Amino acid sequence: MTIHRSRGRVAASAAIFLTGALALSACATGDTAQTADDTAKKPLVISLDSSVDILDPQAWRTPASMVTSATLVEQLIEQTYDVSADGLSQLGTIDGFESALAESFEFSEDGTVLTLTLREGLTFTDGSPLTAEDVVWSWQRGLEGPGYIKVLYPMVGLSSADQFVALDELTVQITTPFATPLLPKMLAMQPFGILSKESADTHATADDIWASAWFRENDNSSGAYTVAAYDPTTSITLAPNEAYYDQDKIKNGGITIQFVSDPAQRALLLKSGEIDLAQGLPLDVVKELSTVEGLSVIAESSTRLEYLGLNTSIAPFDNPAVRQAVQLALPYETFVDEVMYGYANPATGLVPDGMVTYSADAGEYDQDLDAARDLLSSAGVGDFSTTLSFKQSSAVEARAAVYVQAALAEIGITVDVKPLPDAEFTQRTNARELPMFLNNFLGWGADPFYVMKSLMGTGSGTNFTTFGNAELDALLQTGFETNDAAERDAISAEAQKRVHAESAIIPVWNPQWVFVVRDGVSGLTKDNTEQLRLQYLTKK
Amino acid sequence: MSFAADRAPARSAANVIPNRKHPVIRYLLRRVGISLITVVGLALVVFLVVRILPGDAAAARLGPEASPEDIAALRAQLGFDKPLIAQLGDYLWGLVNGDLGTAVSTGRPVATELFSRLPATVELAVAGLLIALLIGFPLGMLAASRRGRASDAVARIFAVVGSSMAPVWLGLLLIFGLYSVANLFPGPVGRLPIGMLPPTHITGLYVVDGVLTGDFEVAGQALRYLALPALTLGLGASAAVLKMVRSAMIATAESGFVRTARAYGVPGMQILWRDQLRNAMLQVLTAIGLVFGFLLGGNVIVERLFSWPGMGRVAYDALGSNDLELLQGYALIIGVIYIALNFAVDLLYGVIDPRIRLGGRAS
Repeated sequence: MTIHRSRGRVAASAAIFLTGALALSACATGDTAQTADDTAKKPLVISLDSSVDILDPQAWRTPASMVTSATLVEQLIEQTYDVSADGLSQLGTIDGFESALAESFEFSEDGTVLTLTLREGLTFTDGSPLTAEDVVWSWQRGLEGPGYIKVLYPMVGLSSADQFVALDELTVQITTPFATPLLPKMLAMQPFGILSKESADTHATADDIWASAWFRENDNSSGAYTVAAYDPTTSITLAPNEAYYDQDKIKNGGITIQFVSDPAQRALLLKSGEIDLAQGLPLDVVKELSTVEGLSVIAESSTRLEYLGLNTSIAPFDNPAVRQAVQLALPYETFVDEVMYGYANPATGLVPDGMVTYSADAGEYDQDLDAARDLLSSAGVGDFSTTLSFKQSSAVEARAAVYVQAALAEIGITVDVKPLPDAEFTQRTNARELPMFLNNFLGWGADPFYVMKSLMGTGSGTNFTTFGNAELDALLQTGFETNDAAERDAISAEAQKRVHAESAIIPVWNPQWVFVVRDGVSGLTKDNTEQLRLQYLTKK
Repeated sequence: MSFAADRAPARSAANVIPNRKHPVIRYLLRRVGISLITVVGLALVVFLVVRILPGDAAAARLGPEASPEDIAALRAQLGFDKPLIAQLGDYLWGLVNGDLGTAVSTGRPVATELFSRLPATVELAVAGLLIALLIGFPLGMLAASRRGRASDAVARIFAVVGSSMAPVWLGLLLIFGLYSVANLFPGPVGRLPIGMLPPTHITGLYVVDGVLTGDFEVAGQALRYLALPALTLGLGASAAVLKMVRSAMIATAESGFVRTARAYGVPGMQILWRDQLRNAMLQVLTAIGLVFGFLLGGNVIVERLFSWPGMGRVAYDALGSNDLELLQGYALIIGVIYIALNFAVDLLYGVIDPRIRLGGRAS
């Protein structure tokens, strides 16, 4: 009996030991699993400010399409990024570049010939090789094809497909008539990503030699992702591309972009945890969400520009003194605080503080009503009435218009505020028939000369004020055509001064790059064209 | 014993066909003819109205940085540079060949863009109509049978509140209350949960396809996601159904054949269900047709609010992007659906009312 009890104790002890060991083992396994789980790349569900309508990286229409198609093509070079102070985001550096599909790239001494050498063994998703021929064809398609990105090429002196040459299977050479720092910036942008010529040849037709119809809804990716599922009405799911040249550069397990049309509903889904990231929320909602536990607002400075345009062909805005008076009358700080809820930077010029070549001496944008009245008076212009137009869909412009109206009333200008349907606004700005309007602009590659030429260059497609000045045009073109940083600084500073003095375009604020994310989401990466680079997003 | 249609006075002279050979066929042919003429008229009106809208579709498609030459080339390619009459000719010829044009904003055929989204719109509209009928019909009957009493007053208040509440406001309230606060319904992310694949396509109606393919999980989820937008549409529409049922039932209650039936001692419930209701159905059916048409074409805002991938959302986006081709296609398809619904209602008149079916011989 004693022996039996003793055996029982031994058995019980053994059982307890075994149980403990199993428990410890389970804990250890759990820890390991936890660690492995933490390091695993997790998928994210996000909702952007629009839906994805087209997958063609050279013909997208909505901002979300631009972001998405950027993940389906890779460029030969990629810009470098700096991690933000809070560690949640990365911001594109001004002029840092690194290899992407190109293993190396080198400019000639005079900067007019760029030679790029592809990595060996590159393939598209379907396993077909990615060669110099694909590179040349992709750029030729951009220049001559159906997309509208062809407007970018002349900015760097590219006007003919002869300027891109495949020297061999891995080497591509670009020749430009002048050296410009905008060229590497453009090559690092999504419209210069590489498409599969073989896929195009397979799906092209006599009426569609560039295979636009196929690329509109399909991909054979050279980029970080490939399309796993796509319903243009509902969502798109992007899966990591196994053929991508550097898997370590894909920081998540895939992205689903859910198309949620109503921004308020997007905010609700974010709060409930159904989505991890939201863009395009009304700023008052963003402000409210900034205090919600479990959510973080990411707001970074941006070179996007909100401006007031004054049509220099319509009196009295043909008089520079009147335009300057309007410039002096605007309440810049109120715009930032009341219209943008603090999610904007005060206007500092067409070349904003933070963009390369920004000049603090070009002229300030501060409200001075007395000076504005004096200017109007000295110009011999009495009280007058005008119309302020803006896109009906823009809530911030609708709010800003009221403040513009009130400010200009202070100097004797009666403003009739007139929201227009978006299509009508586009048509009437294109016809250059609006006397005064609120609009916004984002320049490719954050290049100062691109911005100034686009908005103030004579005959530019986006110069809706009809302003034209041959001297300024020549100055800007000189800026485009030099690689010398000091010279660019000097030219840009002079141009900024003239832009400030002419006042045809009055910058009113620079909206920030704003996203709201759930806690644990980081790696929001902004490139020089303010696009969100999805491959760097991470989720804990 | 029924004193229904054969004792009721003729409802409308327009609906009574002269007593000749093959009255049903003549009736059908006449309705088809009228419908076709209406479709042609509709096509003309849609074409002209869309051309009046401001905005240059070619410029909108190419973006602000496009050169005037590129815009002109695209205008020529799309035929916008031709005289209006030539554009109309091209448009009508395209319609005859089933070609609604190409969506300027996406480059896809308009017919593909719209018909791929039609099932989502139909599913939502049908669900909304069912809710409207389930609520509006019994409440209307109740209000009519208890005219002047408290239940009638409550029903009338419901009708006033329901018809005066904008769908967008009601939708916001429902999303906030039933999703965000109570968490009873799923969020406004469309027809299925995020990441769930739709059922195999048979009809395009996810609930139906889920059941037909035996994928009951998808069918159940589709039903959950359908509930809130359908409730938004249905609650508003139920007010219209309620008012029409109530007034039609009251009108028939005061008619001579109902009084006669009562005098003969026919039980009240029998009069209500067999005589009053059947006669009231002519008006009610008209109302249901109109309500269904409204639910199909008028749910643009509800579709946007719930991210519902239907035709209404396409129309909303097309308006913003100045996609005239898509807008034109949307207006035409919705118009044709209205005409088809009217045609169906006319046919149902014949089923319900023998005077119409038999070419007026009964009267």
